[in-house]
Amino acid sequence: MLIVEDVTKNFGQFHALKNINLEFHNGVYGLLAPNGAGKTTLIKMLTTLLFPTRGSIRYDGEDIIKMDERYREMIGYLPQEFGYYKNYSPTSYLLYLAALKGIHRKTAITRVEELLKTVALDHVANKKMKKFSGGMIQRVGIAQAMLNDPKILILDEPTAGLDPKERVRFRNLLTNLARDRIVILSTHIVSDVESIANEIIMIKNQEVLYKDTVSNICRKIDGLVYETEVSYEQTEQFRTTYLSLSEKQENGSMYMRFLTEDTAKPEWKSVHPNLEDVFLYIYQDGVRSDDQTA
Amino acid sequence: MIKRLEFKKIISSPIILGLFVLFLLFNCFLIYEQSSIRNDMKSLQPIVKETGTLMDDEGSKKLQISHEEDLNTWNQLAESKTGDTYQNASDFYKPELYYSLIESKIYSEKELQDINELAIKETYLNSIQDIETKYSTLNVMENAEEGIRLFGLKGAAAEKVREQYTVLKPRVEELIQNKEHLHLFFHGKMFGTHSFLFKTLFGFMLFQAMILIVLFTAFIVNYEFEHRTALVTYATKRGRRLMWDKLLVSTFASTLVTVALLAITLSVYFIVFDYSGMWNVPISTGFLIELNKIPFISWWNVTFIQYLFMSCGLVVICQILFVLITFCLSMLIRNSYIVFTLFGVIFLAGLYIPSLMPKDSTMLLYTHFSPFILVMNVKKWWMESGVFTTFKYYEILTVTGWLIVLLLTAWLLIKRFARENI
Repeated sequence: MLIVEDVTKNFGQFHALKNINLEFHNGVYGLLAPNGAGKTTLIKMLTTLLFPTRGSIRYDGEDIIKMDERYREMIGYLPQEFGYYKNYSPTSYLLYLAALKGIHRKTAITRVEELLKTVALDHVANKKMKKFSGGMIQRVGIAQAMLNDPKILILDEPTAGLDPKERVRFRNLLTNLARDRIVILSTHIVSDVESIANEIIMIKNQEVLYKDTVSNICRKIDGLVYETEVSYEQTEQFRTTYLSLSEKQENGSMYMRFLTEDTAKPEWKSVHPNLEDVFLYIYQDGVRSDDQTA
Repeated sequence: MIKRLEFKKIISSPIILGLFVLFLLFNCFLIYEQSSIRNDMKSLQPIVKETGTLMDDEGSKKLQISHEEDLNTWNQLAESKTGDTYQNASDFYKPELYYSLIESKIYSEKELQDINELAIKETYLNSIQDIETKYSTLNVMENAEEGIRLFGLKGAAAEKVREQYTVLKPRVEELIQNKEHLHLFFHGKMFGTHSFLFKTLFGFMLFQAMILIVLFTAFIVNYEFEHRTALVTYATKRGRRLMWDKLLVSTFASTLVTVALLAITLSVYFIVFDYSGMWNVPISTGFLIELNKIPFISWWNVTFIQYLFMSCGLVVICQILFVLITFCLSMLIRNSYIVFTLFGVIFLAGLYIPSLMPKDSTMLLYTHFSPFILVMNVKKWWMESGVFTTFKYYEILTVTGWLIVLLLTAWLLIKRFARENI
């Protein structure tokens, strides 16, 4: 069990995270927040790349900093910006990282072959990575995170660059892996975690806002999400009055999915909220300011 | 395994390999440029075979007899060809005779070669007396006073210099007693082999190795940061301890590069210039004295070969110091280009700092205990080397002191890095 206890992280005067308390058991955890919310800071602390200003992170009761390499040998980590050596082949790069992870060379050779098959890169196992697409590099990153068969798999924006088919395969892979390990998946793409995460962690204002199942989180806005048809002329007015969640043009008018705490009108159809609705609702300030900036 | 992979990063760098080959070629070119004197240098070997290297009374007598015999043989030949005889072989080269003789082609190439060798033998013979005179009147305290006056040293600094030269005095007496100064060696004024080998070649090799070492140490320490793989790498089991591997690999690679540069360059040098019979000649021999007429007074009675190995060893240790300096800089600055530039600035500052010291302070002398100043004067390592660096253990104290300080700094920086936010 991995416990984050009262963790605060400051960078000088800037507070990146405040009083974070989390508990991780085996399963998939989706760390969901917009860019810049502190996801990567939290993940870097979980991988010992950053050190908490206050508080502690413990694995099975022991401080991960004190555990040092005993802890790091249990983790697999894919950073948001996965760096690689363009003149290395996936095999040589993975063997290099396997050495750093303390895996015996013989074991590593078999493991690398196996993983390259898993991420469908076996056909380019010995090709230099300089000609690889973003998706292929990301798959090398996923493979390296799994090299040491980690008890804690930490993935920061793992689906970036993957095509829809690869995303599905990746999600299935994670579901299988999560049976006997902790998988922490940080993303700002709701669909990446909605279907596979046992729990979602949402961070807002540098603090944990929710840590709950998808259905429990969606319940927070139960009865507030509607769909309705709006004429083009009224669209702009509608957007300023209600929080628009999604919009679709159809048959000469606009179908709007929106959220409001006002009393429902007869033409509105109440619908079940999904995680994306919650995401947009919680981070609406960010979304609106993003829109204004855009 | 990790160390092997780190080492692979260095040797797979085309810049490092390219520069290494370029430097070797340059050194070969330097040797080639100097190679015109090799045949004249070779004239010494038959003399040494005949008389040995020690030119004491017995040795110089033998050399004189040999010279007279050769001169007689030459005079017989000369008389039969031109009716001339010579009192000295050098008379043959007097311009009023020499050019007409060469133009008339009276003497064959072989005969000209013989007279040339005889003239060289004569130079060695004539030098013995000069050397004996020079050493019998040698007063190192006068040299010290001359240096003190020349550089304007006063007070404690001047006293310290006098103190060191007082320590050197008995060594000079010992040197004369051992007759170290009377051993035949390639004539310094004619060939300047000591300067070419220990100033030019060693000087270049030191800077070449230093450039390579600073480049690859900065390159390897910041490799992960510059290739954006630091997050993956330092989150692995080995984690930040990888820095120890990098330090060890840099040190090993620096030793390897330096030894390879020295071994290849010196092999070429000694293939081109035949030193057979000279290996065991004391380095303090008076025959080494070059045009500046300053004698080489080593602190210990060491032979040429011992001196060569001692210097090679010191070159390797100096390069380890440069690895450590670069390593420490790279731990503070995550950009190999800036580290390289900063190293250059520090090097120049190291040379400049002594000039800022007051002339009456011993700090003026102690600021010379730096690897930067040390590598600038290879020719005078392990010997009297001027007022600023004539300390019996100057080389040992400099490298030991710096080694301890730099190792400690490197250790502290690695410790600091272990708790650094990445």
